[in-house]
Amino acid sequence: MRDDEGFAAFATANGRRLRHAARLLTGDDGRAEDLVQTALARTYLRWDRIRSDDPVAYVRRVLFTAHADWWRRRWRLEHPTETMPDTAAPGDLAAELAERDRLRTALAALSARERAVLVLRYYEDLGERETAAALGIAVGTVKSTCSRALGKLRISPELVESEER
Amino acid sequence: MTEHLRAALSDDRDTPAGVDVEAVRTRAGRLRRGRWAVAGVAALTAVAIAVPVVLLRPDPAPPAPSAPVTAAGQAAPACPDTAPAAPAAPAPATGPLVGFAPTGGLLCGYLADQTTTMADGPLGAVTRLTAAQARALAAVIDAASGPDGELGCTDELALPYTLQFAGAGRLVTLRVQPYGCGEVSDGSRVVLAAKDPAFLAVVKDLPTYAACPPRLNDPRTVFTEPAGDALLPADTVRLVVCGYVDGAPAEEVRTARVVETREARRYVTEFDASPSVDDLACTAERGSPVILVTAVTPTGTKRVVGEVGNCRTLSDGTRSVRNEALVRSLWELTQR
Repeated sequence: MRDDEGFAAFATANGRRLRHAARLLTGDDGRAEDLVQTALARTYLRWDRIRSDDPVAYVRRVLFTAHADWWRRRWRLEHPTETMPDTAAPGDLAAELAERDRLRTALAALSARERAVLVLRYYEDLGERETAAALGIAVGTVKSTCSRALGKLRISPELVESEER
Repeated sequence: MTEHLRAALSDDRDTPAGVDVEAVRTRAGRLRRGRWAVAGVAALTAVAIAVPVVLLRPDPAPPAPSAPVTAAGQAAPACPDTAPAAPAAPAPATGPLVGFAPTGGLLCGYLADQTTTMADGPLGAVTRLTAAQARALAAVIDAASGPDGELGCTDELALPYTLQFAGAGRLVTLRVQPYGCGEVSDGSRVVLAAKDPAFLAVVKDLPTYAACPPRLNDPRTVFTEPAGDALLPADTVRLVVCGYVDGAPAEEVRTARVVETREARRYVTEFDASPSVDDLACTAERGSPVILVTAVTPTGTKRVVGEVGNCRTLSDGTRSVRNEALVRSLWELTQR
């Protein structure tokens, strides 16, 4: 019998992190929610086999692979999303949140793969080899994609303007 | 920059917590039912032979053996329809797993889920091993030793396949896990052989799992098997269908659609009864959809290509038949 309680505990413990990664990847709350549901559903189907191994790594891989599949199916250029929804806050916090949102807007202008690599490297804190394994690409591709993505962020109008403020 | 980026990415103050676990389970149920889709083909009024709508429920496949089969006197190998389960508590083998010099064998690969790369689908790739290949693999396996201590290997990329060795009236079926520690098992005993360079030298170019090729630039390159006596083998247990347009994958990227036994046999019968055509008399339109169909039998596979646009034919490179309705119905499977 499947360990439903164990899976529920796992999903609850990791749900926020997964949802945050999905929002960073997709730039859209609705798609992020769908992506997380899909990743957890696929993990649930294999829960008995993976729960004693490394289910966090498994569901992360499913999340990023499912996103890549979704993106390839669309066959169209991605458009930068608007700033993620946020509530206004007073004082220094407002400035901090504005800075964060500018960076996220710049992030949304990257390709899906560039975003995925940056999220895995700098949000999930994976090394290059682990990032390559999660995405099913070569380590060299991780390095070049990361370098290219950071280069784009450095010259992003969103961030250049913020530096000039 | 990177610390800035790290801080900005990690700021999840506006990310809601909580997961609807019931919704996840419901979605998992839908995924399980729909993954290996049976052909649901609507009856076409213009077609003399109608194929009924079939619910998304797989035909019962031949039961997979829960343990590998070793049958004295059984000389003809046949792939199990699903990969044997990993042994629960394998013991290191103290004697050879194969134990004879095979005269041939089969390598049986299973359909991989594109999202997770787990190959836990039904049989989808069958390769006949030559005597030399079978002997070389058997020699490596029999020379290999079992794990020294408890195994701590990950099989996150679970792409197991089956090897069958036949000869001198004997048949041995082994489960191979190419990742992790490279375990080869007979169901109760295990050796670490699948990462041995001599082992890899034999299997490196053989299909150890089944999936839609990433591109189909020139359909003529897929015709690697002998054409045989019929367009599709009579003992087909399943059709694996992949769709392409101008060489690129169709709508559902690289997700194979599967037609199971009863419906597959109907396609085989109707295609084999369809009128032959001269392929050279028809020019395929640029941009017209193309389907790659792999007919899977327990002892081999055969690939045919269907042109869905102008020609509406199915061909194995040697013979072509025309059946617009059936070719289109297979293409429509790839669009779901």
